[in-house]
Amino acid sequence: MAASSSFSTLFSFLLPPKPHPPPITRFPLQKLRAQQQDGQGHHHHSLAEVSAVANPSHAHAKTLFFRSAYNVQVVVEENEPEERLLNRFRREVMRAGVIQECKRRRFFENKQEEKKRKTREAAKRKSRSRRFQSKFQPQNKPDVAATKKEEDDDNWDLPEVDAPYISTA
Amino acid sequence: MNKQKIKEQKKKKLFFDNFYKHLECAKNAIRTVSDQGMQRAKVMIKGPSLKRDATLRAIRRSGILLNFIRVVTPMPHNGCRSPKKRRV
Repeated sequence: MAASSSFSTLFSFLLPPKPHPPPITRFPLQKLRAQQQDGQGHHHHSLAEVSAVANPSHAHAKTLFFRSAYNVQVVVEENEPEERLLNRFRREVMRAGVIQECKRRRFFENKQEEKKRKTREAAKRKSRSRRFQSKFQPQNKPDVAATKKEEDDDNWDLPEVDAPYISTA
Repeated sequence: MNKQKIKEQKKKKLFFDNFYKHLECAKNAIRTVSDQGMQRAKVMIKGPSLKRDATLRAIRRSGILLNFIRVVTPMPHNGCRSPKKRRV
């Protein structure tokens, strides 16, 4: 009885992720981090199996499903020319930012370098949002949202500045 | 003079080795698989490199149809500390 229930739970875990993956996916960095957490959840999955046998009430605790097992997917159309396929593939890879992320994670970076990198990325993001706004000038609502986000960023920056000052004093 | 020539030859060798080895691997795999009668393939690419266009071209031109192309590059996380960056 317990064995059959555990098998059924295993199947219920394994089956749902299959229909999830959409034909074309795009992964910004945040989703990549979420994917890593999903990876950790996979480790928890094995722990969940053990806990399911020991404590049935903990069978579903800390269980996460994979969002997708890949970073970029390009579905090939029938009779698609080679150049178009290659260009599309390259564009998707560059958009997902997989290569830059891999290069970054190859070497250790300390707090200062991390701060620099985040500042640079924020500047790039703002420049992109400016381009987007310039294309759609009549819309005012995204402007308000952007200003709110900037204010939030400013608020969050202050404590980081205060902490080392307090420690020095 | 001789040292300079030797350096240039080494550079050339490294360049060509890096440029062609993955293409040769792909060609060998395609040959083996097409001999066994494969007609359609699902391609999964792993690795942080942009030199895979040649590989994709080879697969495309070999006559094997493609369902999709996926990038399944693993992303390192929460391991031991990485080595510090090289200061050039």
